[in-house]
Amino acid sequence: MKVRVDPDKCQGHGRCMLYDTDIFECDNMGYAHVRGDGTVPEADREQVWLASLNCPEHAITVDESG
Amino acid sequence: MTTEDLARDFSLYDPEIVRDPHRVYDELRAKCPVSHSDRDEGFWMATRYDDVVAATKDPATYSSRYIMIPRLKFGPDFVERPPITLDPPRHTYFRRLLQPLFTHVQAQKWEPAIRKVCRDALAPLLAEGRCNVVTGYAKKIPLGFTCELMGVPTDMEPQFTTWCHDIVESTEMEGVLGAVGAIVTFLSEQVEIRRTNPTDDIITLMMNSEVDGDRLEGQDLIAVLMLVLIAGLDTTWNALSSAMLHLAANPEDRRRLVADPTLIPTAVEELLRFYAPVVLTRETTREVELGGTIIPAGELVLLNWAAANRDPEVFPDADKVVLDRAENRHIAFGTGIHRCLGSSIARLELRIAIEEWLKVIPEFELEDPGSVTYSTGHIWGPRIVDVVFPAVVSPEAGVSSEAGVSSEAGVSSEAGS
Repeated sequence: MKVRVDPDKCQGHGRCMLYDTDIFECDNMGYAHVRGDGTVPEADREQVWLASLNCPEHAITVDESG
Repeated sequence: MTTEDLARDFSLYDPEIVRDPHRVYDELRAKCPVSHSDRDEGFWMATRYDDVVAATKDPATYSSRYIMIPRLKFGPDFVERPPITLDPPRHTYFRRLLQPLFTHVQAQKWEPAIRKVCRDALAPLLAEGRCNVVTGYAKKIPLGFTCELMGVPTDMEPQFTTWCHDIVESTEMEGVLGAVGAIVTFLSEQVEIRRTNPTDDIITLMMNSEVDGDRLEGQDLIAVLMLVLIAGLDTTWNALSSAMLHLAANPEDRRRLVADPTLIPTAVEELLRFYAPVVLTRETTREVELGGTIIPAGELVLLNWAAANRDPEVFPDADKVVLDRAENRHIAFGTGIHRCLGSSIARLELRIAIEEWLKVIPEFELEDPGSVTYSTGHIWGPRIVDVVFPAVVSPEAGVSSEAGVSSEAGVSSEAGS
């Protein structure tokens, strides 16, 4: 499973940062990106899905096949 | 009353309507999603999630030049409040200067200071066994924290609080303007002091923030400080007041959060969705079609984020508070480029204020549900929420609470640096 953040959509709400995962981090403007290549460890799957479902900008895409 | 009448008679300033504005929003969303009111000099209103989002994300058509009804809500001298009343490209410049100071990561540094404000506000309430949760608690959180954030000297806090109150709550233009003038003078003095004696508060941070070698100066700096100061006050306390009212009136939800405080962050988002306090306008720059309705150029359009948040097309059980709602793309803080700058601080204040209250007052209820009244205007929330609870009189509780406060205070001065 892989996750990505669309930099053109992110507005820096920080909702994804509220979930208990090491996947998301933000730059100094508060815009989110994923660490590394966005591969999601098994243990973080649910939290990453929740982050995606709560992004008001629809900026987070989860790819189950990745 | 027909739907047409409801639309035509809608006003944010009508005490009858604001007691239950969602009754109006629900009907308009279903039958007339882009409506026009003849009141308050006339304005349009969008209530469907998709329409509200589409308009909010199109700043070229929906200008932020005027964001309130009436257009000159804060008087003729305070029209421009960067960045909230700006469009790109000037808006982009101000956001680049300000956003780094208010990110999720930056906001977390204020947690100890916020926790201290909450505990200090709770301490005198415990023995009373009753309070109006709006004035007795909810208001004190953003006011106390704003003083901390702005580095207001302790002896100035009561005066500063009075000015803030006058700006946010005064119904007379004279009261608003007097307080604006006083705060501008105060802020100008504070800026001068920090030129020679930099501190670790937001005023110094803003003075030092740079974009392409540029810094905020003069009127721009004061106007931005003014906005940061005002924007975090009644917004936050209304959101918190609504949340506390909900918990007082819904014991099963309250007990669920007491039993499992890890649910509070998710519950905060749901309470923000359901009780979104802020609605603002845009002014159309050209004739435009929205949700099947043609709006002429130069018109005010109220983008109703609160109504959008209860759109059943987007949120299952939209009219119910579901504390653990899994999918919740609410837009209580707006969406797009004007997303509330202080949203990370606001949700932190809400979470901590609820955590701290429930820790010491897990059981409380409304004294008289009939006595709840609501604010009018762009920031919506309850004004009187009288609650009763078992008074805490044990001396141990007092001692341990004070010990907690002083240890957090040590952390808080560190966190601000």
